[in-house]
Amino acid sequence: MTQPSDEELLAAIAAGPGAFAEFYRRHVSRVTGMGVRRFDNPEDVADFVATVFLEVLGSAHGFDPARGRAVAWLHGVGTNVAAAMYRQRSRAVQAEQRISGRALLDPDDYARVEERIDAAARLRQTCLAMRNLPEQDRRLLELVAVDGLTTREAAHVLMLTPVAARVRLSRARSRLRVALTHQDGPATRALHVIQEG
Amino acid sequence: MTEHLEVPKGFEARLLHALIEIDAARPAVPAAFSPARARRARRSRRSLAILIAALIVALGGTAVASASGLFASAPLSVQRIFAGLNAHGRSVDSADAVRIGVIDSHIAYAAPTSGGGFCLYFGTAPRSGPTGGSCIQRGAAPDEAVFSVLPGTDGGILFGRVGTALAQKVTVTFPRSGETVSAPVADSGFFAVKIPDRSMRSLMITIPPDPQKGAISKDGGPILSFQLDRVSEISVTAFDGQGDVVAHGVAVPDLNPSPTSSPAH
Repeated sequence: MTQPSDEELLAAIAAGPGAFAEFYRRHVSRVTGMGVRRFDNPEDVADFVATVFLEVLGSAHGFDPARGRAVAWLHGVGTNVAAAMYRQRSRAVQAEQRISGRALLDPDDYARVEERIDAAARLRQTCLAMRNLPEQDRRLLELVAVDGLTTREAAHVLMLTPVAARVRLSRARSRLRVALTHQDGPATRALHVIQEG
Repeated sequence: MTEHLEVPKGFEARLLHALIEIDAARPAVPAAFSPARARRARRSRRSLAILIAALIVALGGTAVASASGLFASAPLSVQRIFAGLNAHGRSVDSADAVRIGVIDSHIAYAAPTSGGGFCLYFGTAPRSGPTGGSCIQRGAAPDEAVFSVLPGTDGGILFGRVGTALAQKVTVTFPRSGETVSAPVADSGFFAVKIPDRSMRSLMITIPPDPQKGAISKDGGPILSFQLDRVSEISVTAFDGQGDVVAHGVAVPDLNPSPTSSPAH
Protein backbone atom coordinates (compact mmCIF):
# COMPACT_ATOMS: atom_id res chain seq x y z
CA MET A 1 0.00 0.00 0.00
CA THR A 2 1.34 3.44 -0.88
CA GLN A 3 1.99 5.48 2.21
CA PRO A 4 1.13 9.16 2.00
CA SER A 5 4.16 11.42 2.04
CA ASP A 6 4.70 13.88 4.86
CA GLU A 7 3.78 16.66 2.48
CA GLU A 8 0.49 14.95 1.62
CA LEU A 9 -0.24 14.44 5.30
CA LEU A 10 0.28 18.14 6.00
CA ALA A 11 -2.10 18.99 3.17
CA ALA A 12 -4.65 16.62 4.66
CA ILE A 13 -4.17 18.09 8.15
CA ALA A 14 -4.76 21.55 6.70
CA ALA A 15 -7.96 20.34 5.05
CA GLY A 16 -9.48 19.01 8.26
CA PRO A 17 -9.36 16.36 10.97
CA GLY A 18 -8.12 12.83 10.46
CA ALA A 19 -4.56 12.78 9.20
CA PHE A 20 -2.82 14.29 12.18
CA ALA A 21 -2.19 11.10 14.14
CA GLU A 22 -0.14 9.58 11.33
CA PHE A 23 2.03 12.68 11.04
CA TYR A 24 2.47 12.75 14.82
CA ARG A 25 3.55 9.11 14.98
CA ARG A 26 6.11 9.67 12.27
CA HIS A 27 7.68 12.70 13.85
CA VAL A 28 7.14 12.68 17.61
CA SER A 29 10.52 11.08 18.21
CA ARG A 30 12.22 13.69 16.03
CA VAL A 31 10.45 16.54 17.85
CA THR A 32 11.23 15.08 21.27
CA GLY A 33 14.83 14.88 20.12
CA MET A 34 14.74 18.57 19.25
CA GLY A 35 13.32 19.23 22.70
CA VAL A 36 15.96 17.35 24.67
CA ARG A 37 18.69 19.12 22.72
CA ARG A 38 17.29 22.49 23.76
CA PHE A 39 15.85 22.06 27.24
CA ASP A 40 17.31 20.43 30.31
CA ASN A 41 14.18 19.34 32.17
CA PRO A 42 11.36 16.96 31.19
CA GLU A 43 8.64 19.56 31.81
CA ASP A 44 10.04 21.95 29.24
CA VAL A 45 10.64 19.11 26.80
CA ALA A 46 7.03 17.93 27.16
CA ASP A 47 5.72 21.49 26.77
CA PHE A 48 7.92 21.93 23.71
CA VAL A 49 6.61 18.75 22.06
CA ALA A 50 2.99 19.65 22.84
CA THR A 51 3.42 23.18 21.54
CA VAL A 52 5.14 22.10 18.34
CA PHE A 53 2.33 19.72 17.44
CA LEU A 54 -0.34 22.24 18.35
CA GLU A 55 1.44 24.56 15.95
CA VAL A 56 1.36 21.84 13.33
CA LEU A 57 -2.42 21.56 13.75
CA GLY A 58 -2.86 25.30 13.56
CA SER A 59 -0.30 26.11 10.88
CA ALA A 60 -0.40 23.20 8.45
CA HIS A 61 -2.31 25.39 6.00
CA GLY A 62 0.77 27.60 5.81
CA PHE A 63 2.97 24.79 4.56
CA ASP A 64 3.89 25.22 0.92
CA PRO A 65 5.56 22.17 -0.65
CA ALA A 66 7.08 24.41 -3.29
CA ARG A 67 9.22 26.00 -0.60
CA GLY A 68 10.64 22.90 0.99
CA ARG A 69 9.88 19.55 2.45
CA ALA A 70 7.61 18.85 5.39
CA VAL A 71 10.43 17.82 7.69
CA ALA A 72 12.24 21.07 7.05
CA TRP A 73 9.01 22.94 7.76
CA LEU A 74 8.61 20.98 11.00
CA HIS A 75 12.12 21.96 12.06
CA GLY A 76 11.17 25.55 11.33
CA VAL A 77 8.14 25.22 13.60
CA GLY A 78 10.38 23.68 16.26
CA THR A 79 12.94 26.46 16.15
CA ASN A 80 10.16 29.06 16.35
CA VAL A 81 8.57 27.35 19.34
CA ALA A 82 11.94 26.99 21.06
CA ALA A 83 12.70 30.66 20.45
CA ALA A 84 9.31 31.62 21.89
CA MET A 85 9.89 29.41 24.91
CA TYR A 86 13.34 30.87 25.41
CA ARG A 87 11.76 34.27 25.49
CA GLN A 88 8.84 33.04 27.61
CA ARG A 89 6.52 34.71 25.20
CA SER A 90 2.85 34.30 24.69
CA ARG A 91 2.79 31.44 22.22
CA ALA A 92 3.95 28.84 24.71
CA VAL A 93 1.70 30.28 27.38
CA GLN A 94 -1.30 30.19 25.08
CA ALA A 95 -0.54 26.62 24.12
CA GLU A 96 -0.36 25.62 27.76
CA GLN A 97 -3.86 26.91 28.23
CA ARG A 98 -5.12 24.41 25.67
CA ILE A 99 -2.85 21.51 26.48
CA SER A 100 -0.04 21.23 28.95
CA GLY A 101 2.66 18.82 27.94
CA ARG A 102 4.12 18.68 31.43
CA ALA A 103 0.77 17.65 32.89
CA LEU A 104 1.01 14.45 30.85
CA LEU A 105 4.29 13.32 32.37
CA ASP A 106 4.33 10.36 34.74
CA PRO A 107 7.29 9.04 36.77
CA ASP A 108 8.37 6.67 34.00
CA ASP A 109 8.39 9.55 31.54
CA TYR A 110 10.64 11.59 33.81
CA ALA A 111 13.21 8.80 33.89
CA ARG A 112 12.99 8.18 30.15
CA VAL A 113 13.11 11.83 29.11
CA GLU A 114 15.89 12.63 31.57
CA GLU A 115 17.88 9.81 30.03
CA ARG A 116 17.50 11.42 26.63
CA ILE A 117 18.29 14.83 28.10
CA ASP A 118 21.51 13.44 29.57
CA ALA A 119 22.40 11.84 26.25
CA ALA A 120 21.94 15.17 24.50
CA ALA A 121 23.86 17.19 27.08
CA ARG A 122 26.71 18.05 24.78
CA LEU A 123 24.44 19.30 22.01
CA ARG A 124 22.32 21.22 24.48
CA GLN A 125 25.41 22.97 25.79
CA THR A 126 26.10 23.93 22.21
CA CYS A 127 22.62 25.44 22.04
CA LEU A 128 23.22 27.36 25.25
CA ALA A 129 26.48 28.70 23.95
CA MET A 130 24.72 30.02 20.86
CA ARG A 131 22.17 32.10 22.75
CA ASN A 132 24.05 35.33 22.24
CA LEU A 133 24.35 35.01 18.48
CA PRO A 134 22.02 37.02 16.23
CA GLU A 135 18.74 35.07 15.99
CA GLN A 136 19.00 34.03 12.34
CA ASP A 137 22.59 32.88 12.80
CA ARG A 138 21.69 30.99 15.96
CA ARG A 139 18.77 29.21 14.29
CA LEU A 140 20.89 28.20 11.33
CA LEU A 141 23.70 26.91 13.50
CA GLU A 142 21.25 25.05 15.74
CA LEU A 143 19.68 23.28 12.80
CA VAL A 144 23.05 22.20 11.39
CA ALA A 145 25.23 21.62 14.46
CA VAL A 146 22.53 20.49 16.91
CA ASP A 147 19.75 18.91 14.85
CA GLY A 148 21.99 17.47 12.19
CA LEU A 149 20.31 18.95 9.14
CA THR A 150 22.38 19.52 6.04
CA THR A 151 23.11 23.11 5.10
CA ARG A 152 20.67 22.79 2.21
CA GLU A 153 17.89 21.50 4.49
CA ALA A 154 18.55 24.23 7.04
CA ALA A 155 18.44 26.78 4.24
CA HIS A 156 14.97 25.50 3.31
CA VAL A 157 13.82 25.83 6.91
CA LEU A 158 14.93 29.43 7.13
CA MET A 159 13.98 30.24 3.54
CA LEU A 160 17.53 31.11 2.55
CA THR A 161 19.33 30.17 -0.60
CA PRO A 162 21.91 27.43 -0.02
CA VAL A 163 24.66 29.87 -0.89
CA ALA A 164 23.40 32.45 1.58
CA ALA A 165 23.07 29.75 4.21
CA ARG A 166 26.67 28.62 3.70
CA VAL A 167 27.92 32.18 4.02
CA ARG A 168 25.81 32.81 7.09
CA LEU A 169 26.85 29.51 8.64
CA SER A 170 30.51 30.28 8.16
CA ARG A 171 30.02 33.68 9.72
CA ALA A 172 28.07 32.21 12.65
CA ARG A 173 30.76 29.64 13.32
CA SER A 174 33.42 32.33 13.27
CA ARG A 175 31.48 34.53 15.65
CA LEU A 176 30.86 31.71 18.02
CA ARG A 177 34.47 30.58 17.83
CA VAL A 178 35.68 34.05 18.72
CA ALA A 179 33.17 34.30 21.54
CA LEU A 180 34.12 30.96 23.00
CA THR A 181 37.86 30.91 22.54
CA HIS A 182 38.62 32.21 26.01
CA GLN A 183 35.95 30.27 27.84
CA ASP A 184 36.08 26.91 29.58
CA GLY A 185 33.56 24.20 30.38
CA PRO A 186 30.42 23.94 28.27
CA ALA A 187 31.56 26.68 25.94
CA THR A 188 34.72 24.80 25.07
CA ARG A 189 32.77 21.64 24.36
CA ALA A 190 30.37 23.64 22.20
CA LEU A 191 33.29 24.96 20.23
CA HIS A 192 34.32 21.39 19.60
CA VAL A 193 30.86 20.56 18.28
CA ILE A 194 30.65 23.46 15.85
CA GLN A 195 34.16 22.71 14.59
CA GLU A 196 33.00 19.18 13.89
CA GLY A 197 29.93 20.46 12.05
CA MET B 1 12.83 11.84 5.09
CA THR B 2 9.86 9.80 6.29
CA GLU B 3 10.50 8.43 9.75
CA HIS B 4 10.25 4.80 10.70
CA LEU B 5 6.83 4.60 12.34
CA GLU B 6 7.02 3.95 16.06
CA VAL B 7 4.16 3.54 18.48
CA PRO B 8 4.32 6.50 20.87
CA LYS B 9 4.52 5.61 24.53
CA GLY B 10 4.38 7.46 27.82
CA PHE B 11 3.56 11.13 27.65
CA GLU B 12 3.90 11.10 23.86
CA ALA B 13 1.02 8.59 23.68
CA ARG B 14 -1.10 10.63 26.09
CA LEU B 15 -0.30 13.77 24.17
CA LEU B 16 -1.38 12.08 20.96
CA HIS B 17 -4.78 11.26 22.46
CA ALA B 18 -5.22 14.83 23.64
CA LEU B 19 -4.20 16.21 20.25
CA ILE B 20 -6.49 13.79 18.42
CA GLU B 21 -9.38 15.24 20.40
CA ILE B 22 -8.37 18.75 19.45
CA ASP B 23 -7.92 17.64 15.86
CA ALA B 24 -11.32 15.97 15.74
CA ALA B 25 -13.00 19.10 17.06
CA ARG B 26 -11.53 21.23 14.24
CA PRO B 27 -13.85 22.11 11.40
CA ALA B 28 -12.76 21.19 7.91
CA VAL B 29 -11.31 24.37 6.47
CA PRO B 30 -11.82 25.10 2.80
CA ALA B 31 -8.61 26.50 1.37
CA ALA B 32 -8.70 30.16 0.39
CA PHE B 33 -8.63 30.44 -3.38
CA SER B 34 -5.46 31.42 -5.09
CA PRO B 35 -4.44 30.44 -8.61
CA ALA B 36 -1.16 28.92 -7.49
CA ARG B 37 -2.87 26.97 -4.76
CA ALA B 38 -5.52 25.81 -7.19
CA ARG B 39 -2.87 24.57 -9.61
CA ARG B 40 -1.11 22.70 -6.86
CA ALA B 41 -4.43 21.32 -5.69
CA ARG B 42 -5.16 19.97 -9.18
CA ARG B 43 -1.72 18.39 -9.32
CA SER B 44 -2.09 16.86 -5.90
CA ARG B 45 -5.71 15.75 -6.27
CA ARG B 46 -4.76 12.29 -7.41
CA SER B 47 -2.18 11.84 -4.70
CA LEU B 48 -4.62 13.19 -2.14
CA ALA B 49 -7.13 10.61 -3.27
CA ILE B 50 -4.48 7.96 -2.73
CA LEU B 51 -3.75 9.47 0.66
CA ILE B 52 -7.37 9.39 1.71
CA ALA B 53 -7.73 5.84 0.49
CA ALA B 54 -4.62 4.86 2.38
CA LEU B 55 -5.85 6.56 5.53
CA ILE B 56 -9.22 4.89 5.24
CA VAL B 57 -7.53 1.53 4.98
CA ALA B 58 -4.81 2.17 7.53
CA LEU B 59 -6.58 4.31 10.08
CA GLY B 60 -10.16 4.67 9.16
CA GLY B 61 -11.17 8.06 10.65
CA THR B 62 -14.52 7.48 12.28
CA ALA B 63 -14.92 4.43 10.14
CA VAL B 64 -11.34 3.58 10.89
CA ALA B 65 -11.62 3.27 14.58
CA SER B 66 -14.91 1.56 14.05
CA ALA B 67 -13.93 -0.92 11.41
CA SER B 68 -10.46 -1.85 12.53
CA GLY B 69 -11.45 -2.95 15.98
CA LEU B 70 -8.20 -1.47 17.21
CA PHE B 71 -9.27 1.22 19.60
CA ALA B 72 -7.01 3.87 21.08
CA SER B 73 -7.00 4.26 24.83
CA ALA B 74 -9.10 7.06 26.22
CA PRO B 75 -7.20 9.95 27.83
CA LEU B 76 -6.91 10.07 31.59
CA SER B 77 -9.47 12.86 31.82
CA VAL B 78 -12.06 10.61 30.17
CA GLN B 79 -11.05 7.62 32.29
CA ARG B 80 -11.76 9.73 35.36
CA ILE B 81 -15.22 10.58 34.02
CA PHE B 82 -15.97 6.90 33.44
CA ALA B 83 -14.88 6.15 36.99
CA GLY B 84 -17.59 8.53 38.20
CA LEU B 85 -20.46 7.20 36.09
CA ASN B 86 -23.39 5.36 37.58
CA ALA B 87 -23.05 1.83 36.22
CA HIS B 88 -26.19 0.45 37.85
CA GLY B 89 -24.27 -1.29 40.60
CA ARG B 90 -21.58 -2.67 38.31
CA SER B 91 -17.94 -1.59 38.45
CA VAL B 92 -16.50 0.37 35.53
CA ASP B 93 -13.06 -0.65 34.28
CA SER B 94 -12.19 2.95 33.50
CA ALA B 95 -8.54 2.14 32.85
CA ASP B 96 -9.67 0.09 29.83
CA ALA B 97 -11.71 2.92 28.32
CA VAL B 98 -11.17 3.40 24.60
CA ARG B 99 -12.06 5.86 21.87
CA ILE B 100 -14.56 4.28 19.49
CA GLY B 101 -15.38 6.99 16.97
CA VAL B 102 -16.91 10.39 16.39
CA ILE B 103 -20.63 11.12 16.33
CA ASP B 104 -21.63 14.61 15.19
CA SER B 105 -18.29 16.07 16.30
CA HIS B 106 -18.50 14.40 19.71
CA ILE B 107 -15.77 11.85 20.31
CA ALA B 108 -17.36 8.69 21.63
CA TYR B 109 -15.61 6.58 24.24
CA ALA B 110 -16.52 3.24 25.80
CA ALA B 111 -15.43 1.47 28.97
CA PRO B 112 -16.22 -2.11 29.98
CA THR B 113 -18.22 -2.85 33.10
CA SER B 114 -18.20 -5.96 35.25
CA GLY B 115 -20.46 -8.67 33.95
CA GLY B 116 -19.90 -7.93 30.28
CA GLY B 117 -21.62 -4.57 29.86
CA PHE B 118 -20.27 -1.21 28.93
CA CYS B 119 -20.58 2.52 29.47
CA LEU B 120 -20.40 5.23 26.82
CA TYR B 121 -19.25 8.80 27.12
CA PHE B 122 -19.45 11.53 24.51
CA GLY B 123 -16.82 14.24 24.65
CA THR B 124 -17.46 17.92 24.31
CA ALA B 125 -17.77 19.46 20.87
CA PRO B 126 -17.84 23.11 19.86
CA ARG B 127 -21.25 24.51 18.92
CA SER B 128 -22.90 21.20 19.59
CA GLY B 129 -25.25 19.55 21.97
CA PRO B 130 -24.89 18.17 25.44
CA THR B 131 -22.13 15.89 26.48
CA GLY B 132 -22.72 12.99 28.79
CA GLY B 133 -22.36 9.35 29.54
CA SER B 134 -24.48 6.35 30.32
CA CYS B 135 -24.09 2.68 31.09
CA ILE B 136 -26.23 -0.20 29.97
CA GLN B 137 -28.00 -1.95 32.80
CA ARG B 138 -27.34 -5.49 31.72
CA GLY B 139 -24.16 -7.37 31.08
CA ALA B 140 -23.44 -10.01 28.45
CA ALA B 141 -23.61 -13.75 29.04
CA PRO B 142 -20.79 -15.75 27.40
CA ASP B 143 -23.02 -16.53 24.42
CA GLU B 144 -24.23 -12.95 24.01
CA ALA B 145 -23.04 -9.86 22.23
CA VAL B 146 -24.78 -6.79 23.64
CA PHE B 147 -24.94 -3.90 21.24
CA SER B 148 -26.59 -0.63 20.47
CA VAL B 149 -26.63 2.00 17.75
CA LEU B 150 -25.12 5.44 18.23
CA PRO B 151 -27.02 7.55 15.71
CA GLY B 152 -25.76 10.84 14.33
CA THR B 153 -27.06 13.25 11.75
CA ASP B 154 -24.44 12.16 9.24
CA GLY B 155 -24.23 8.48 10.02
CA GLY B 156 -24.09 6.08 12.88
CA ILE B 157 -21.97 3.51 14.63
CA LEU B 158 -23.06 0.14 15.91
CA PHE B 159 -21.12 -0.60 19.05
CA GLY B 160 -21.16 -3.61 21.32
CA ARG B 161 -19.35 -6.09 23.49
CA VAL B 162 -19.11 -9.86 23.23
CA GLY B 163 -19.34 -11.85 26.43
CA THR B 164 -16.77 -14.47 25.52
CA ALA B 165 -13.06 -14.06 25.00
CA LEU B 166 -13.24 -16.68 22.23
CA ALA B 167 -14.89 -14.23 19.84
CA GLN B 168 -12.62 -12.84 17.18
CA LYS B 169 -15.04 -11.45 14.64
CA VAL B 170 -18.62 -10.26 14.41
CA THR B 171 -20.87 -9.98 11.43
CA VAL B 172 -23.74 -7.53 11.46
CA THR B 173 -26.72 -7.79 9.15
CA PHE B 174 -29.06 -4.83 8.94
CA PRO B 175 -32.83 -5.21 8.50
CA ARG B 176 -34.52 -4.07 5.30
CA SER B 177 -31.26 -3.16 3.54
CA GLY B 178 -29.91 -6.69 4.02
CA GLU B 179 -26.37 -5.34 4.12
CA THR B 180 -23.82 -7.34 6.10
CA VAL B 181 -20.68 -5.85 7.64
CA SER B 182 -17.89 -7.62 9.54
CA ALA B 183 -15.59 -6.27 12.21
CA PRO B 184 -12.86 -7.75 14.40
CA VAL B 185 -13.37 -8.06 18.13
CA ALA B 186 -10.92 -5.92 20.08
CA ASP B 187 -9.77 -5.91 23.71
CA SER B 188 -12.55 -6.22 26.30
CA GLY B 189 -14.69 -7.87 23.61
CA PHE B 190 -15.54 -4.52 22.07
CA PHE B 191 -16.57 -4.22 18.46
CA ALA B 192 -17.85 -1.37 16.32
CA VAL B 193 -18.92 -0.90 12.74
CA LYS B 194 -19.68 2.21 10.78
CA ILE B 195 -23.25 1.71 9.62
CA PRO B 196 -23.51 1.97 5.84
CA ASP B 197 -25.65 4.91 4.70
CA ARG B 198 -28.34 2.74 3.16
CA SER B 199 -28.65 0.68 6.32
CA MET B 200 -28.69 3.80 8.48
CA ARG B 201 -31.61 5.11 6.45
CA SER B 202 -33.36 1.79 6.91
CA LEU B 203 -33.29 2.37 10.68
CA MET B 204 -35.22 5.60 10.20
CA ILE B 205 -38.68 6.56 9.11
CA THR B 206 -39.56 9.60 7.07
CA ILE B 207 -42.21 11.90 8.46
CA PRO B 208 -43.68 14.29 5.90
CA PRO B 209 -43.81 17.93 7.02
CA ASP B 210 -47.14 18.84 8.61
CA PRO B 211 -47.18 22.43 9.84
CA GLN B 212 -50.63 21.93 11.34
CA LYS B 213 -49.25 19.32 13.72
CA GLY B 214 -46.05 21.27 14.28
CA ALA B 215 -44.04 18.59 12.48
CA ILE B 216 -41.74 20.62 10.29
CA SER B 217 -38.00 20.57 9.84
CA LYS B 218 -35.76 23.63 9.64
CA ASP B 219 -35.62 23.49 5.86
CA GLY B 220 -39.27 22.56 5.48
CA GLY B 221 -38.41 19.12 4.18
CA PRO B 222 -39.32 15.71 5.57
CA ILE B 223 -38.19 14.71 9.04
CA LEU B 224 -36.02 11.63 9.45
CA SER B 225 -36.69 9.90 12.72
CA PHE B 226 -34.42 7.19 14.11
CA GLN B 227 -36.46 4.20 15.21
CA LEU B 228 -35.18 2.57 18.38
CA ASP B 229 -37.38 -0.45 17.89
CA ARG B 230 -35.59 -1.27 14.65
CA VAL B 231 -32.28 -1.71 16.49
CA SER B 232 -33.53 -5.05 17.82
CA GLU B 233 -34.04 -6.18 14.22
CA ILE B 234 -30.30 -5.97 13.57
CA SER B 235 -28.63 -9.36 13.54
CA VAL B 236 -25.21 -9.67 15.21
CA THR B 237 -23.26 -12.92 15.26
CA ALA B 238 -19.85 -13.48 16.84
CA PHE B 239 -17.40 -16.10 15.58
CA ASP B 240 -14.25 -17.64 17.02
CA GLY B 241 -11.01 -18.11 15.14
CA GLN B 242 -12.27 -21.30 13.50
CA GLY B 243 -15.38 -19.61 12.18
CA ASP B 244 -17.73 -21.23 14.68
CA VAL B 245 -20.55 -19.16 16.12
CA VAL B 246 -19.85 -18.31 19.76
CA ALA B 247 -22.40 -15.59 20.53
CA HIS B 248 -25.55 -13.93 19.23
CA GLY B 249 -26.49 -10.30 19.47
CA VAL B 250 -28.77 -8.79 22.08
CA ALA B 251 -29.90 -5.27 21.32
CA VAL B 252 -29.73 -2.63 24.03
CA PRO B 253 -31.47 0.17 22.23
CA ASP B 254 -32.06 2.75 24.96
CA LEU B 255 -28.65 4.33 25.11
CA ASN B 256 -29.48 8.01 25.04
CA PRO B 257 -26.72 9.71 26.97
CA SER B 258 -27.82 11.67 29.97
CA PRO B 259 -26.11 14.92 30.92
CA THR B 260 -23.29 14.17 33.30
CA SER B 261 -22.18 16.07 36.31
CA SER B 262 -18.63 14.93 35.66
CA PRO B 263 -16.16 17.65 34.73
CA ALA B 264 -15.75 18.24 31.02
CA HIS B 265 -12.35 17.15 29.79
